[in-house]
Amino acid sequence: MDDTIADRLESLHRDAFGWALHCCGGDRGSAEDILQNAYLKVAAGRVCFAGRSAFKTWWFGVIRLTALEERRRRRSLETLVAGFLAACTPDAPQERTDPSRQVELGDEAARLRTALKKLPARQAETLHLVFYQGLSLDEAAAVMRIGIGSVRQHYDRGKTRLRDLLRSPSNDE
Amino acid sequence: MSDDLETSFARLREADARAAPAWRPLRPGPLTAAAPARRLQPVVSLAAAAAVAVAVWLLAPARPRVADLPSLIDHEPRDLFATLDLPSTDGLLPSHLTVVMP
Repeated sequence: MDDTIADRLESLHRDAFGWALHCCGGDRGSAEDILQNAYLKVAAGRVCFAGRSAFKTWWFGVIRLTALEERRRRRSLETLVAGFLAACTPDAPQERTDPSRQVELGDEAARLRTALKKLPARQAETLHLVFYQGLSLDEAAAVMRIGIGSVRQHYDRGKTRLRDLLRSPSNDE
Repeated sequence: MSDDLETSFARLREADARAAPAWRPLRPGPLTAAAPARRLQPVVSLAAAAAVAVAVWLLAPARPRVADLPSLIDHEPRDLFATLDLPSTDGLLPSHLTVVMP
């Protein structure tokens, strides 16, 4: 891997992990896998930075696509098994935030993570990219590969909905 | 701007940063070797597993079935010594083979 690219990736490593964490719903193990696979793509030359956007925008787009690929791969593998298990166990417990992870995160951060999970994916992505990563709406649109108008809409609706969720006591579940 | 959300996201960001794995420089050798395995599609994996199972089943030595064995006793059962009452066929034998009982 090019030293310059490696240096840039290293400087973005923590932010990239945060983005990968968001892309896989807060699961640390999956986030590490996704980030590692994205690094592998760069190392193997399967993705190249062409300079058409900011480096961070490009890199976050790669991570997002890698997460989508991984989700699709897991979904296709688990469809049969999960369907069978769901049929066998109708009272399967709903996904909850891991208590140890909640302690690690702190209450407020954990509540925010839980609330983000309840938002539509596009709204949550937009809010993460803008508030967490500090990207502009244009850059968020480039990462998500959608138009700026759509991003603005997701941003406005997402903020309102997120505030409601954070105020709501039922979000603590 | 949304100060409340910014503060919340900043705290989440700090918490995630503490949990982030350490940066490890990538090494080309193991990385390029590991990449194809992760890209293997589940359909391909299942097909390969099915092919191996069929090959094992086909190549396994076939066990003889009872129905396939030759029949050793193929005549009708009858009473013990019943053949003594049947007329002798010794007359059909050549004379040097005829058994003469004393």
